[in-house]
Amino acid sequence: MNLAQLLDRLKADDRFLRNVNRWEVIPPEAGRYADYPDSLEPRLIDVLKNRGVDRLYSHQAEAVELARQGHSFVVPTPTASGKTLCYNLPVLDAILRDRRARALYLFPTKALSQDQMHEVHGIVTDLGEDIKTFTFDGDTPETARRAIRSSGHIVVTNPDMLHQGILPHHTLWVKLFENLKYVVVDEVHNYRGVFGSHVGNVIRRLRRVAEFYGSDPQFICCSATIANPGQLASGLTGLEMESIARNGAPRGLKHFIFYNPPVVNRELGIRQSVIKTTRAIAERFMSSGSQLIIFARSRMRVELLLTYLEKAGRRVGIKSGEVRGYRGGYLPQERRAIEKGLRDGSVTTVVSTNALELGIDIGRLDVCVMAGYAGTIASTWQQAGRAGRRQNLSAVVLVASSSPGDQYIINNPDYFFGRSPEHASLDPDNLVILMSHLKCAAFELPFGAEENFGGRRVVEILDYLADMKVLHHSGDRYHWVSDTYPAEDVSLRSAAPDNVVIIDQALAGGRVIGEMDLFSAQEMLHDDAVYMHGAQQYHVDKLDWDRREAHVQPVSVDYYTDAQRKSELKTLTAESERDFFYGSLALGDVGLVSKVTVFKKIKLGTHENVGAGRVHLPEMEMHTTSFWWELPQDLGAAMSAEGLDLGDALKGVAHLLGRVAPLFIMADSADLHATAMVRSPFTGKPTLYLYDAFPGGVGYARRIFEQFEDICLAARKHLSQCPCQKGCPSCVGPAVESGTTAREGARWLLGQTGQAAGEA
Amino acid sequence: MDLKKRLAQLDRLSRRPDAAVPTGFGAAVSGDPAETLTHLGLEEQTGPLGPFWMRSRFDVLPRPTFPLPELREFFANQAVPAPDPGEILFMDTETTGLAGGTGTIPFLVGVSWWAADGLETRQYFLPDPGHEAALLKELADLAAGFRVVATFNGASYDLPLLRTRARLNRREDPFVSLTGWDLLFPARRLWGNRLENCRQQTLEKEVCGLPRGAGDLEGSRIPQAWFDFLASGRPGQLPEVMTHNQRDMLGMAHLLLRVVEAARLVAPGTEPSADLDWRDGWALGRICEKRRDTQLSLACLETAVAAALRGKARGLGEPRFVADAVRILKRGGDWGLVEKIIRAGLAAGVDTAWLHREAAILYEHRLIDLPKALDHARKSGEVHRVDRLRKMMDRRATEASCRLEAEMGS
Repeated sequence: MNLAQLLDRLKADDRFLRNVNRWEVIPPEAGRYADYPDSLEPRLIDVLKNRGVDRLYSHQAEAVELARQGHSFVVPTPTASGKTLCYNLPVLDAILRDRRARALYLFPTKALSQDQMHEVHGIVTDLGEDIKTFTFDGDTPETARRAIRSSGHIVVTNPDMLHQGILPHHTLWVKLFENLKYVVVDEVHNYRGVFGSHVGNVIRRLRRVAEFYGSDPQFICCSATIANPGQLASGLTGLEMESIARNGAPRGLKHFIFYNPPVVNRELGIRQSVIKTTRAIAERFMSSGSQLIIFARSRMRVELLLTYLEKAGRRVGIKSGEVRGYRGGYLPQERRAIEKGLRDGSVTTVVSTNALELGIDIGRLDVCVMAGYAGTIASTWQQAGRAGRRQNLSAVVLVASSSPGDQYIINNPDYFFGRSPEHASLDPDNLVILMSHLKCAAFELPFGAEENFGGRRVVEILDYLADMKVLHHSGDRYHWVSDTYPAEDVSLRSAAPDNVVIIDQALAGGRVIGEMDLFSAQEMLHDDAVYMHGAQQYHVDKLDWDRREAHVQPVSVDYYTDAQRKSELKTLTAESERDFFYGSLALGDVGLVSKVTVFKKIKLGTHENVGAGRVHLPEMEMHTTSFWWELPQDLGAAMSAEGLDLGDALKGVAHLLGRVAPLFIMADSADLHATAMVRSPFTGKPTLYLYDAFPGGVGYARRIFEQFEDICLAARKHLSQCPCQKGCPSCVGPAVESGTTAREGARWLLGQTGQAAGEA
Repeated sequence: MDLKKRLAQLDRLSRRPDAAVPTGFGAAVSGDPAETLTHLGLEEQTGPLGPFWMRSRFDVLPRPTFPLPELREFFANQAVPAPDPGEILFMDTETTGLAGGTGTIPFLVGVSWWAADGLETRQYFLPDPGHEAALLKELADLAAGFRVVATFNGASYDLPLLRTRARLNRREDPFVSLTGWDLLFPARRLWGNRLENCRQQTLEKEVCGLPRGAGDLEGSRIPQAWFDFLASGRPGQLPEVMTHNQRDMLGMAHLLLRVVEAARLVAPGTEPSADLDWRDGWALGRICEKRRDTQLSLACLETAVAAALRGKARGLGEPRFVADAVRILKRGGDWGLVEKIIRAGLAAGVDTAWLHREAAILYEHRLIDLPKALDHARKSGEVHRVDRLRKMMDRRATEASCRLEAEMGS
């Protein structure tokens, strides 16, 4: 049975269809083409024609033209739409004309840089010209680095390496910086939130260093489909960016299925687990001989699904080596092997986190199953684009989890299939982030008192750093005078710069099998945790926190572990306040202390709780921006009079808002945390907090502060539509967690806002 | 809340708990920087790019006799015509940290050279990061009169750092036309196998017999001394830093004298002295081997092995020595001596598979003692050799008995 037959069969399958909220058939679309611009180097055109590219897609031709006119620009590029030519053409053209010209390519991950290098390499080989293309990242051997610095025409790297390895050593890269003509920033939609705010500052530093050497590079950015690619790219590069509006690549026929797992416990509103459902759906596609990719939202889910699907695969004659996992924490060689296996077809099924959402070339897959909504429409389309890359029939199944975000999307397919409403945002002026990068920038080149950074005056911050004795103010300049290397203390991706390495003790001498950031390590690698890696279970014998090492041994047990993080919040200052229909709203700074305290052992398959243990690890501390809603002092009494419990209601509303708000502010649900206090020590009243999950905040809380009326209304609506009786994971959280009166209480509390607003 | 307060709060809360909090100097009594510079013996002079601060010192130290021996293998760089001792410039920097990268400032650059009867030293001090260009210019002008710049670990630290600083100041590398001699390279080769580490202080003490004494400043405190001066204008520990820097160059000159001495021992065509310590013989032998001087390397190792055997096998428990000795001695073809070193090594506890393999090869192919070869092949875990040896022995036994039968039968 092939894919088309399987889809026909599913269409006739009532038990399947019962849970399908939308079966969208996206028609194929013909490509729009353009001839090679006359301005392009004839040698380049010849090579491409020999490779079978007789003409360009319209957006590629437009890119060549914009680049030639000296503009910086951004191209919207769905998966597999020929985006690489949009930057490789202008770059190679420039180098062919002037052999001194240099280009820097930035990809968000190491894996992606490797992949892209091969691409450029192919064209260069065909050109028969001595154009040197190198990747420069953490894996580049010391011996190769000197040659790359002095002779690489195209240097392919990632923002982290630019930040820690290249800019602080710019004097070794004179040739590159003196002749830097183009900077290519791919997957620009990834640079939002904290990561984007950091990268925006790294680019400010890049432009500053380039200016020192007398160059002013053009930027070419590529983005997935989002609402504001131009705005995002401008924010990131600090430049006016032209925007190419349309992509000319053709599209194949695609079936997009919205699948909502059945409710299995009506009283608790619990739906069948997303993992179980995904597993069942994936199994059907596996038996159709399709090559498929399954996206799961966490590393643990990847491993769980992998375990299940390996078994399922064996039943239909798929060997376990053909079913692979892919996620952060796997070592580079392992990942390369899997990518290759996907391209040559020896891997038929891959279970991945969003690591494979990015444009790594894994060839053509037929089917994509998403275990849970990817969090943003842009990501979902990126993941969906993994199926049917080259105009073939493809199928995508989105399986919703019980989370309110998923439930909102699955029940509002029009919101998804309408024009992308998402605006990606970043805040490079976040003070914590800005200050970190000012330190790095001062390390790289002394600062002039009148010098702007990212278009703003920063002399006040420089003076502060001078007071702190990390800068020395002399004459009209600020010099770095500290014995530290500031870039080392600044991680672009998370609050903590450190990593925990995972060491398999069963192998002679102990072998490193992966690594993990500190925050996740507390949850996944605590003592006695069962850590899954490549479908193998490991028992964590010891997490040596001081040495940042987790010592593990392979085991085979029938449970996995799930750790619980407890957070404590301290309000520091209120920056803005405003009235609300009910109570008042504020925005300010909070300090947060969180700690992993206990873990549960959960049986595989049945998901029952079969034990628990304590975790003893140090607290993690963070300072961030929070929105809060101060409720009336007498709320508790008022609720008691209604037979409701204030604590339950607050917990319920926090659960609900924490999951609905991210959809409105285009954040990931992990970027935002919600918590409630019956009596906040700061306000002295019942208070509900929604705060950025990153030090200093990147503007999420601020947007909630501004849009709270809309969010509150949506939350109220969502709750009223929820079919459960006493609360479920989709709304206020299950009654066992939020309390038996949580749903009623939340409804009452949110109702007050409506009444106060004068609604019927 | 004003920006400053906000910055302070964010900074405090986002800092990792173990990170050091900068010490403030607000309360400290401020000094007059100009007075401090005078106190340090630094004189302000004016160059084409502005003022710079310098002091001169002199130490009595005999210069090596000319001509210098061939030092190519010692310094791992291309052939340069041997310089006159007076053409060597010793150089050492004191900086704001070891992290590397563009933001590390060399705030004190010392240079020394041999004058007629001693070591002339100049120290250039940066009282403020803004005067760096003038300092670099003076340094470049001075360096232009020399052919070699001798440093300790300068190939990977001081020289690239100055190159970086020059670039930041849009100037040329002050040492661009000089050949670099990094004393760390010969020190590792000559004395690395006998010292617990190859730090300059260790070498000065153990090789030159010049302990620094209690007054020497610990390297890790040097950056702070300058930061303190920047903040307070007072000398603080700067006098100790200046002395430390001067001592570093003096120490380098002493070390170079020892390197020259060692090089003379193995100058092509010489005979190694019979009273060499086994470790010196070993180190020199390796250097000659690198030079492809088989004969001299053999001679050095023979001396070393003899000394080691005399010294009741102390060195023979050192696997790297035994390995080098076996490798080099094999080239001489004195299989008896090779056997001796292997046996001594095994007896001294170098019970490695590698050594047993060497023994097995020696007995199988050179000394033709198959039972011994088999014994070592077993211990080295070489299955194929064991098999082959066993078959060879069986065949020989069969042949022998056939021969015997034939003889008896006839």
